[in-house]
Amino acid sequence: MRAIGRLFTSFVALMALAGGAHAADAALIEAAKKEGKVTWYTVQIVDQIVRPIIAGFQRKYGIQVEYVRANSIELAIRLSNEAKGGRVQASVFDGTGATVTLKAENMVEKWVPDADLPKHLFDPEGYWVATNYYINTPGINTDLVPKGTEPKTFEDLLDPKWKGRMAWNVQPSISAGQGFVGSVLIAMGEDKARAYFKKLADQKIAHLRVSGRQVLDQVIAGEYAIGLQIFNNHAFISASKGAPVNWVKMQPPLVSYSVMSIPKGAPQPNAGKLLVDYMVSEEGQKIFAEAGELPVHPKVTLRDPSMIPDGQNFKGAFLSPEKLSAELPGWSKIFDEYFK
Amino acid sequence: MKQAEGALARLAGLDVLARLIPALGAALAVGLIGVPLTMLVYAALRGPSDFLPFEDGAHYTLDNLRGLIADPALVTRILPDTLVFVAGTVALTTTIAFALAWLTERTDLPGRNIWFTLIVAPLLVPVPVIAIAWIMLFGPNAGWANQFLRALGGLTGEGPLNVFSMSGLIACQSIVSAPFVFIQISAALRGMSPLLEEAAAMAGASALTTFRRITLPVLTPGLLAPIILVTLVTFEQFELPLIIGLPAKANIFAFRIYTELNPASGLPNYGAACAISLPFLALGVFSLLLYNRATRRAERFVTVTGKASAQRRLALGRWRIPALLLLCAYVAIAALLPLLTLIWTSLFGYAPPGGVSMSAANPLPYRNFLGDPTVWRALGNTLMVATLSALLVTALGGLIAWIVARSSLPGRRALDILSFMSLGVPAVIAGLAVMVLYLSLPIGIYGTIWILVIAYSYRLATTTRLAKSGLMQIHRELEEAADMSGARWLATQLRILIPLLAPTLGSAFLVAFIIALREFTIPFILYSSENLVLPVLIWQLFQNGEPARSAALGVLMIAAILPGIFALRLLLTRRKA
Repeated sequence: MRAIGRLFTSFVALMALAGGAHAADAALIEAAKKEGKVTWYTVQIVDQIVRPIIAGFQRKYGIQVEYVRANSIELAIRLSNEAKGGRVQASVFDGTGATVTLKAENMVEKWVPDADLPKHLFDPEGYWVATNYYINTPGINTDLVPKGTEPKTFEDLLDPKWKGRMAWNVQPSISAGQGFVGSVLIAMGEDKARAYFKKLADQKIAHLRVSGRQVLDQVIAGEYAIGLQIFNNHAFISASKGAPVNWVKMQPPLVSYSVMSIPKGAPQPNAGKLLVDYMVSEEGQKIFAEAGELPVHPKVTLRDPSMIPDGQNFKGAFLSPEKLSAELPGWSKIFDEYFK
Repeated sequence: MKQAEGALARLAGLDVLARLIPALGAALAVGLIGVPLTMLVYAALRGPSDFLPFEDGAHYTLDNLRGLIADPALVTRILPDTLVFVAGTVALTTTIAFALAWLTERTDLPGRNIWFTLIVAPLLVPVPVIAIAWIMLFGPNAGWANQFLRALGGLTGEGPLNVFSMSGLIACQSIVSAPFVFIQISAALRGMSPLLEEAAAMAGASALTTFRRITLPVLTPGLLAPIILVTLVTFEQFELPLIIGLPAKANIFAFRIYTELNPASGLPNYGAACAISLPFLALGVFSLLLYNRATRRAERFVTVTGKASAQRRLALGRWRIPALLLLCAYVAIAALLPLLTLIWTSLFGYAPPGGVSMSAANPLPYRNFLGDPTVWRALGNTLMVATLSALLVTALGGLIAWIVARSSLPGRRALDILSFMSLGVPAVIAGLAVMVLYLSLPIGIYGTIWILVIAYSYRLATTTRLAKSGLMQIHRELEEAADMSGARWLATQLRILIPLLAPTLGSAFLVAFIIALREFTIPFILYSSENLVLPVLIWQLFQNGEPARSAALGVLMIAAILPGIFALRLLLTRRKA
């Protein structure tokens, strides 16, 4: 009898979803609570935003969240391997490009939450929704780079005084040397950019295989004076806690979304959807803002709005997840030519 | 008549289990080593590269191999870098290990047992944990040791030491490998007959001359085996090439396999990863054959025997203080400084010692672990996988040893070789092979702790060898007596052989357990949310910018395995007797 009851609720939940569900309706919440927990594969920074989101979500719904943190490519590979091995473990994942890779493999569920967000924050094909912006600029150690001497343009980075004092992540992504190559290509065009890379390669930029966040941590620690292609809001967060760090308005920075999707065959699909729902709700988006992240919700204000390019004084190069995934291999190839 | 019938029936009963169990064991060994490696070769011959070998659309192709040959990086970067790394590490490791072993085994150095324990202890600690400490200490700019040295010498700029360089990588790897070689060279020195040295001393040769003209030449064959073994072990390293070698732009082959599995975009290039494994697999097995020859040759030299009755220890005299200082320096760099660094980092994060007041210490990382399900799961997984895989390789190693030494099972020689060959298979290749196999078999093992148990258990060589030497020492007459008294095969094994072999099997289990506990390469390739183990979690936390949590977990792990040091010591000293 109970089994039939359960079947019925999930059927109701299914019907509700099929009929264009709206934000966190009762059936979804109930189905999610029955699942009791959810595994989230994320590229977000754990102590900055993952833990506060989990705390808020758990408080509201009592659903346990477990996470694995890795970069976008690695998450896509883990998920794809798990699907091929017959055991998908994540019920929700985010990242900049993971969903595009998996979409092509038919491994993403077609679902977006019924959130109160502008249309451009949803995948036109219906596979993802954006949660926050990523804006990649250089970050500097303000003890090592005195005010007024910070590099403001790509050319400034060629100054011999920065030789051996810069670092970047080299796991291909927007927040890595490969993303920096993309920024320069967009700004200068290929011919000029290549001439620039040739000179930049002489600057002996340190290769780190860590997240953009940790590149910045090493800049804060004084290991490097400049971290290239870090996330500007990470510098903001650390600076507001008193760390000797700042970000530089080098233009154009890459602007992209972190987007969320549900993998096909997710073990806790409802709890996964509820988490997405929560993260794009005004409540969830406020947690992003308080943490110093860059939420997308129009009603939520940022702690420092100047972090997002306004198109006037601060112009960025926006790339959708699809565009980003299409461009990244080419950037990586050029990156390897000059810097590997 | 009746008696004969009974005997016949017994024989029949005997035959079934006596044949079934060894046959199962043999099949399992083949399943753990042979099948994944066959899959590896097969996958290298299938394409397109990002397809699994049995996926729809996959077909036979030489593209992966062609791509391997066509890639100039193999000859210009990967091979030279790998060779420099291996040669440098082997030279430095052997020098360090020999110096340490000679001081502790052949001289009248005070506190030899304590030194022995201190030198061997870091062997229990997962490599990423030590690597994290060295990065904090010897990072070229912010490294605490460098800041200290710069202040001391009035230097500016970066350095003077740079962990992120080929020499930094070699130094770190040598310190990680040194205890392992130290144990073997110690054993060789311990077994050395003192007669020749005594004769030299009687003839009036100085200590140095004796060492140069007698000790070294006599030991050479005994040293060859550990040197080849450390070559093999260095060759398969993945942890430090990943953590330290990448910023140093060192292209070690194991790392290249990893990048094929984690490409710049899209899905893994399984085929290309398998193709690049092949030459290195061949190289590994080739070195193993060399090792086999060297050990066999070494036995012909009778100067190293089990009869080291009363070895004369060299009086260090005025060299005693420098020798002690040398050992202190080694232990400081290899064990003490990394440990203190981890403890400091766990409380103060990146803040360098001296720069902050002690009251700024933040024990939060330790407290947070209590409520963190990921940490508990990783702990549970680590213990579970280490226990199960150690049980499996011990049981299987024992069984293979029995098959080889006691049975007439057809193909037992091949089984022996297969088990021995596992020593030449780099962990990164074992992980890859198991991955490709279980991705092609969608039975839900990928992503669970079971795939780790399976992948770890390819290392059958050590337990087989230990069990074999144990078996050799047990005469058949006890088993024959049991047979004569009518005991069935299984009963004989359970009641006679296994109790006699228990101490050997116990040591084999302990060795396998320790190896599994600190394993990083295989779980790093195969991890998911469900089967995360502590060494991987520690590295992930560090990589994701949580140095305090990462270091705190490292400290806790070291604290938990400290008792293991005493177990290890007991094991090594018992074998000494």
